[in-house]
Amino acid sequence: MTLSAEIGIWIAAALTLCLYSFLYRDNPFYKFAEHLFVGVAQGYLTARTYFDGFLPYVWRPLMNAVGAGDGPAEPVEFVVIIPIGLGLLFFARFSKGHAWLTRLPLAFIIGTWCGINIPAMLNAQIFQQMNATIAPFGTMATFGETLKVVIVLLGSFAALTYFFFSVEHRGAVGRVSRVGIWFLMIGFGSAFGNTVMNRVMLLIQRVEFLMQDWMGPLIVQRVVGLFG
Amino acid sequence: MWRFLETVDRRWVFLLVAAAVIVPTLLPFSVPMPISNSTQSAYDAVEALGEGEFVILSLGYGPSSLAELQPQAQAVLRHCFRRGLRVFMMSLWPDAQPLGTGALLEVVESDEFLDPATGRSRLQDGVDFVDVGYRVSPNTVILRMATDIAGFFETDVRGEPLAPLAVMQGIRGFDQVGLVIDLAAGDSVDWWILYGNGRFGVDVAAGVTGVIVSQLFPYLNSGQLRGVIGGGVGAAEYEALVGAPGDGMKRVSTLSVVHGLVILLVVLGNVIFVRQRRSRGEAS
Repeated sequence: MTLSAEIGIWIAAALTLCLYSFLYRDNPFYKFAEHLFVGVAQGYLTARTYFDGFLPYVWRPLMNAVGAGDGPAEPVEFVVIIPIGLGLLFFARFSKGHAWLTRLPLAFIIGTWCGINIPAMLNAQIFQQMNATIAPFGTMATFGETLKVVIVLLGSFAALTYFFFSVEHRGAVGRVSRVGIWFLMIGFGSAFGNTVMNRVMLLIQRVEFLMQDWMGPLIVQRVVGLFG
Repeated sequence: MWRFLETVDRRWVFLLVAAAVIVPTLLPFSVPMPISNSTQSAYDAVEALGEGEFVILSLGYGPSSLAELQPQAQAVLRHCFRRGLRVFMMSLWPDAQPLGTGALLEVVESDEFLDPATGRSRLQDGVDFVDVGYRVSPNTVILRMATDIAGFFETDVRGEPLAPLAVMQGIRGFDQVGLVIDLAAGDSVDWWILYGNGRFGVDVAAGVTGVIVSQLFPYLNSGQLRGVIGGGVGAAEYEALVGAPGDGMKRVSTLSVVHGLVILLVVLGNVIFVRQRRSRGEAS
């Protein structure tokens, strides 16, 4: 193993232990590792945005347009100028008199975001899901499939009833919405169980790193040898 | 004893969990590996592709979800290469690229794909696979690559122009793509469902962390996803299907011990809670 890899493992191990020290109680080592992580993550993101966003989509087209780029001079396109201009308007926030100009790029972003996403979301998350809830009634062949589609339909109806606030949840509506709560609780329970699995996997991976990469195979081999 | 359990310092619980992780890590054992329908569907989706078909492996995860998704990436890549599929790897998260490159190199340079005559991998960059790295804004990337993949990405991570590469021959947009496999810790799988599948009709399968797997099952039932590999267990299942035990299968035995402990502690906590409530009721 190279020296740099070895140093990297020691730093990673030390920071891992700093972070897990929080389980005992809050302490300066934990704070140090936490702040370092936030700083490094933000720095990495900023650098990637600069190299993968600013340079290829802003700087190089402009430099090529004025003949100062790496490639041959080529006229700058309006589709490049417009987003650059809109992006620059965000800096108007620093001037009290011109701060209102930031509304223009915000309006553009919100408008395009809604225009692109609303039809796609309606299609994928509403229409296709409604279709998938109802369509299987025409194709169910076995008792298991029938039971499944009936439970899905009942669960959807009951959960939607729980979120229907135009009618007071009393009588039949109250009972159906109570069934809806049960379905929601089962859903949340499933999500929670999977989340526990996720967190435990992270812990296992870190323990593997500490015991195998950092502390080395020596200890692992000795213990395994003890128990055959 | 009940008095002790009611007032026990939570740090004893942390120590118990630590022991439940450390002991099986030192003394590994195997557990039965039944395959879930969702992972089997993802495997079948890859299995259904013919030799030479084009697969997009989209990465939307970072180091915080490496434990679950890196074994998935390796198992899926191994499966694709065994099937003779062309793999196009791209990153929708900035920190996914180095992880993806690492998984790719590990599989490509593994003994399975080694040419004994040359001592080098049979799989060639630009011929059997290509890694184009990270591009900003996931939804914009998917929308723009839909009709002209090489035109949008222009170069791979080595800086080689994409269009002349052998791996890209005959590929223009999503119409020529056999399957998209998105390995996601966040919303990248949503964008693939909305745009890749919803708007352009490309088949999508997903490998995701345990945190978001539950919310994807409706898409699996509706056919918007061809399969879902769920978390670390999903990774282990896929490794078992591919017949290449890796980190996923290694960790799942430890996971079983910790899950057993967590269930035990939840039951114990509830028993203590009920006892306390009863004793309060009797007191009042």
